[in-house]
Amino acid sequence: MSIILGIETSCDETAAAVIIDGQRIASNVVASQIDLHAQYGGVYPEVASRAHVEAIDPVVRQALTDAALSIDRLDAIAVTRGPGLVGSLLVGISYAKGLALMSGKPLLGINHLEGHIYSLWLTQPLQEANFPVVVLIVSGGHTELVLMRGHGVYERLGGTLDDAAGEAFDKVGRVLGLPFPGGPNIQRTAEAGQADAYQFPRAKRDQSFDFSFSGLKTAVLREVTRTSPKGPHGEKGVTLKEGVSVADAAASFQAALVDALVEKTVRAAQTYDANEILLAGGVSANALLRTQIKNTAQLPVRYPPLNLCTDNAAMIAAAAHHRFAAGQRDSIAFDVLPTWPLSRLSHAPLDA
Amino acid sequence: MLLALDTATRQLGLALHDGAALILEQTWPSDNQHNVQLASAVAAALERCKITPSSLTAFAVAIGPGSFTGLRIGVAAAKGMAMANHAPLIGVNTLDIAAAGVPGGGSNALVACVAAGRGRVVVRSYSWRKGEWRPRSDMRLTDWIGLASSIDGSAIITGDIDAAGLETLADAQRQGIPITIAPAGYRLRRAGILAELAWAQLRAQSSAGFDPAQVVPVYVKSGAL
Repeated sequence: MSIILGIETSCDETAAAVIIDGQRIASNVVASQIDLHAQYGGVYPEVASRAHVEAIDPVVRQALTDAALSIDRLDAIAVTRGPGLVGSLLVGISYAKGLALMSGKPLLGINHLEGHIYSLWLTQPLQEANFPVVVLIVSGGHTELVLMRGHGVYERLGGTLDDAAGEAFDKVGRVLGLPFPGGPNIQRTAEAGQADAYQFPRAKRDQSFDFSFSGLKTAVLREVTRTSPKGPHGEKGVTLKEGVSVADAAASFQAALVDALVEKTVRAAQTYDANEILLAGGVSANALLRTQIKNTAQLPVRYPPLNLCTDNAAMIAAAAHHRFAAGQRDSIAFDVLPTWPLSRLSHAPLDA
Repeated sequence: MLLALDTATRQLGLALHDGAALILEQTWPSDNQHNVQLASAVAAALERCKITPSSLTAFAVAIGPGSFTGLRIGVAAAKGMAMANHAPLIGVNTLDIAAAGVPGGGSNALVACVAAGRGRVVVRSYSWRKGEWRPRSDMRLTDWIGLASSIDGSAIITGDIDAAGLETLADAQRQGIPITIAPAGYRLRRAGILAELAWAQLRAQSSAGFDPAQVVPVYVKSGAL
């Protein structure tokens, strides 16, 4: 039995959660900064860091209140150590260190990508993975294809060479005049469009498991926009070509991006004899991705509930549960790891 | 017992103060290692003084101006500590700490400085009234030449003054500008002074008024603050 407080501030959500046994959600609080960043069309790091400093204390207090627990009932405190925005990560890490030091509770620094994977374990009843599994982590900051042979044992098969899938959604959304974040807004707009209206490139048709989305983004830009006279402040003018259907462009872009994700993920699962495919991260909320991967793979496909696809702290505490049970305790002197590939995590199997 | 933390600049400072006496005070150049060094330094200080974490009943933190990253580390860590101990958190302006470290009795005007990187400095003017340095201007971002040329009348300069600053201010003195550079021992910003200022606030008002959630860093932008 473990009761773990998770804290997550790696990007633009300030989050805290209390998780029992890595599986049962006692509380799950997320303060989103979407409204703050919408005006920039993406996450503005300094704005994100400032918002975390203001939100962290109320968010953690709310998580404990919702769980009806005091700090002394906790077995451990888990915090996202990386990867992510360094200024944002440091807020959660510093807060967690202060909390751990004063309460005497063990502290664990958790990999954000591992957290996304463990959002799949936050199910009732618990559904254990049938290892080996191939995991596709797709979000605004990450696109990673991972072979998981057991708890805590990861082999990175590939990842994006340029933009993350969610980042491509955001950038194309901005081009099409859709609000931030791009993912849900493109999906909604695409419902009224024809996915074969434009033939966008399916990016990196090779035998690797790497992705590339910047070519796709450029193709959309070239196809649907034209440059217009510079604005009053000299800003580059880009406007949609006349007659362009935003719905068709959104549907065609989404189809191209999902094709690339599905092809590599399914091929990876076949290559490594995986028993299951797991999806995680914000883009795993995409309905087309979910449907298409299920229809293509001759394997069980699982993904988290919608509210656990985007960044949250429940997944951080869930990942910490396995590490805590295996005896991991981190020093309060640990450094932030803004770049922290899963392949650099411990390869020693963790006892589940 | 109050724990005071200052991570506003490249130095790191911490102090333990029981309201009557300063029990421990440490200051060292931490550069960009605040996140790595802060929590273990606090743990070591508590152990050295045989003070248990749970006996800390109040926390104080320097809220800036200063390095944005340094401030966030200190403020977030202090919030976590205050949360764990159900204790008040008092945020104190970094320039006020620098000013309060200089004894009165000499000139009745003082300018406190905090390094703002790339040769710039955030300054604020103070005057000595009723036994303490009280702010008599807003904070502003300037450079050493800008600071020297803004002095009207005699003034003590204190706080973060780097080698270039000492040189520029010495030039200004030679040109007859009536400034006094505070001795190095007074220029060092001290967490013990931060603790003193925090205790003064705690005595003046009930601790319920110091909600940790309300403490936010002071971010200095160019121009007006």
